[in-house]
Amino acid sequence: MVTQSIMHALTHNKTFSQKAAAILTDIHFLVPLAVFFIGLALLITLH
Amino acid sequence: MSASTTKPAISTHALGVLCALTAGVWLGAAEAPTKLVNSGISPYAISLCMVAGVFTARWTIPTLLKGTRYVFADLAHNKHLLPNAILAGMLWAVANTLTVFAIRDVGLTIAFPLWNTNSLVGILWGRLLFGELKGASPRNIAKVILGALAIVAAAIMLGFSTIRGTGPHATHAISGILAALGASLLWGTMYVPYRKAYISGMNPLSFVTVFTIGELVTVFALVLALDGGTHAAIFHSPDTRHLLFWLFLGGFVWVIGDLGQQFATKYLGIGRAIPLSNTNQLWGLAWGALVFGELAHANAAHKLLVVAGSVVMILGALAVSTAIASERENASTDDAVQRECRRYNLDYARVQAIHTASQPGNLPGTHDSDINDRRRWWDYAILAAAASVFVYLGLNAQIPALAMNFPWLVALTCVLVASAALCGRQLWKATRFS
Repeated sequence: MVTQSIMHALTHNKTFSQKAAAILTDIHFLVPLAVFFIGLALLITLH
Repeated sequence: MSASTTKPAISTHALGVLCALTAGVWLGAAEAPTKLVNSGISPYAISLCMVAGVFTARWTIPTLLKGTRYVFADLAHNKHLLPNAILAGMLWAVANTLTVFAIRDVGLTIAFPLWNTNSLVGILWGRLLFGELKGASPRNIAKVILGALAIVAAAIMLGFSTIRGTGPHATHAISGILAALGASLLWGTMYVPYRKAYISGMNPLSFVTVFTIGELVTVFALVLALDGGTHAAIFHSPDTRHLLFWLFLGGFVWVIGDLGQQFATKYLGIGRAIPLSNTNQLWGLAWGALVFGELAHANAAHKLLVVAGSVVMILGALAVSTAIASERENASTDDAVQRECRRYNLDYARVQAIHTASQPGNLPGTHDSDINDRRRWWDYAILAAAASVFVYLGLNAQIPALAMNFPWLVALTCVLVASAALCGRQLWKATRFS
């Protein structure tokens, strides 16, 4: 259901917040983002 | 826009392999100018200067490949990919800084092999997130995985052959190993945004433009946060000025190599592109040994290690480069392209044509003679401004008293230029740098 509403937002309605929500829930964005925060946390810990 | 396609003069696989190997040549050479910097300035500062050079260099030759009108129109057409490109730059910057900690705590001997496993991380993400190697024959899967492993092993051998005096590091061993593994994870994951952009039809030159901004801002933030803030020596030391040219030159060479890496990721996928561009270790060693005489005092065992490492790396690269994707694997990649098109409402015919290099990637509603190929006066003005920065820094540079073998310097520079010319020509003929 959530996926369907995101798909709809991208292809039809397209308000900025809906588009942003769709980008931010994309696995291709989330995985690198999570890895970035892991790396940053590691960096701050080691410094 | 018409979706009619023509058969490219060179297969996308061959084009990707050529780009990856060219990336290896240039990324390996990017270390050469930094060898001339031996001032004791912090690694953060070196990283910042080099990234500033990368950012400036992006506006030199790459500006001529595709004009700014095309790049900004492409970015406007792919706005949803801007966060991914920035994130890729951020990943690079943090990974690069982690390597500083890794070298400090465990030395290059242990750290280098660990972060060089980024190719294996890339293969994992390529399989999980983009369906790479899905449907591939067992023979091709073996070629890619064993080839990648061979390249990692060869990099370790070549690394060992040049590393000496690693010093005592035992007290911080765990933190150093964690830092190196972190760098590997980040540098392997960095290719996820690359690949996502290219299965969406984005131009590598557009991606690199935003990538360098993410890189520069993050490195700058890290200098401010971890290297003394506004009091950092990099902002105040008069010695820095004389060194900037060499670091900027390293940045220039790096950005050309990175463009090769981007095109390789586009046409080969992550799993094949990373191992092949990791052959940069071979070229880095060639510069170190042949130009800077780093193996002048090496014993027979060291030299044997170099020869064996080089042979293993070449064999690994051969294995990966001959693992041509089958119809079934291409169908899996096509599924990934279709997913992007559905999710972001993209023109599938256009994206597919760009992805397979079967037609130039003109932007929707435009023609070749419009923004796709024409350069405007401001492109040349930007190019002149960026080149002026290099000229200014060059006039203020000090040539270090470092013994160099000039015949080999000329020979390796010729290899650099020839590889870029060959790769650039093929890219132009097949894709017009789209």
